[in-house]
Amino acid sequence: MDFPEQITKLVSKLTELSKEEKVAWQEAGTKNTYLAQIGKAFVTVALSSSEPYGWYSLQVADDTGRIVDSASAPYAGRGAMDSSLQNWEALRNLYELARRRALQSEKVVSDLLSTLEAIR
Amino acid sequence: MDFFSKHWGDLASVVGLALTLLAVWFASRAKAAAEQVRDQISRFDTMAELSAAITIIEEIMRLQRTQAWEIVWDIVLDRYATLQSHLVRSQLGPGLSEAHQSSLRTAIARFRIMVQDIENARSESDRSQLNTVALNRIASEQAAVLETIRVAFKKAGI
Repeated sequence: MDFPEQITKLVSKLTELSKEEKVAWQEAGTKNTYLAQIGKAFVTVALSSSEPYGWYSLQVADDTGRIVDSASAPYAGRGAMDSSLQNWEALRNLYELARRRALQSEKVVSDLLSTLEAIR
Repeated sequence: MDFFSKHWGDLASVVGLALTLLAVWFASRAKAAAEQVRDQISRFDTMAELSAAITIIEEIMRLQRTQAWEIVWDIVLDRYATLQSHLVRSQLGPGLSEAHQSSLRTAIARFRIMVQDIENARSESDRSQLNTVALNRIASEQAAVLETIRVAFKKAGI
């Protein structure tokens, strides 16, 4: 199923800004869920299935914490409609960026490499 | 003496006017003092609400740390509800800067999202999906924000 145009735009913009490290993602209260406050709104991206390809979702909450919009993309397989696969890939990319940013993966790995270099 | 006997009525009017002005002045002073006291009491109330909110957050963190969710679901959710009430009342308090009001709005929203996380896990009877460390980290951050507001508020006026 196609995402509404606004959600597609939102995912695209969030992905772009997350790549530039301009969105401050944090771990949320549920496992495999990351949250960012952007202006007065809150955005969460989640991986809500432990199946190999997972089920990604996005929620938008207003300044009171009430969920006002959401979208989700289950993996429908390679034979699925292009749009379904595109949605799934878009959310998976955003989720991975959010996860790496929240857990500061790059910094941890970089520090680890520096430590390893020092050991040599 | 002749003057007084001729103009006693005028003098009485002047004295009456002076007394009226004096009474008005005293009344406005009393009103300003009453408003100041009322404002002071409201500020004390806001401080008390913030202190209560911080205490409840600490209690929530202790309960969440047990990870005994089956036992503490109801208590934790009840404490979150009370916390939200304290935060809403704090936000309505007089004399808060726009920045502090914004921080309180954020805190209310963050806790509401946390409640949704806990409610979802509870409805699915799956406590394993909760990230207790993250829940407590967010709670701790918000407690620090509230403490900052409380201290700034205290310094500003009480």
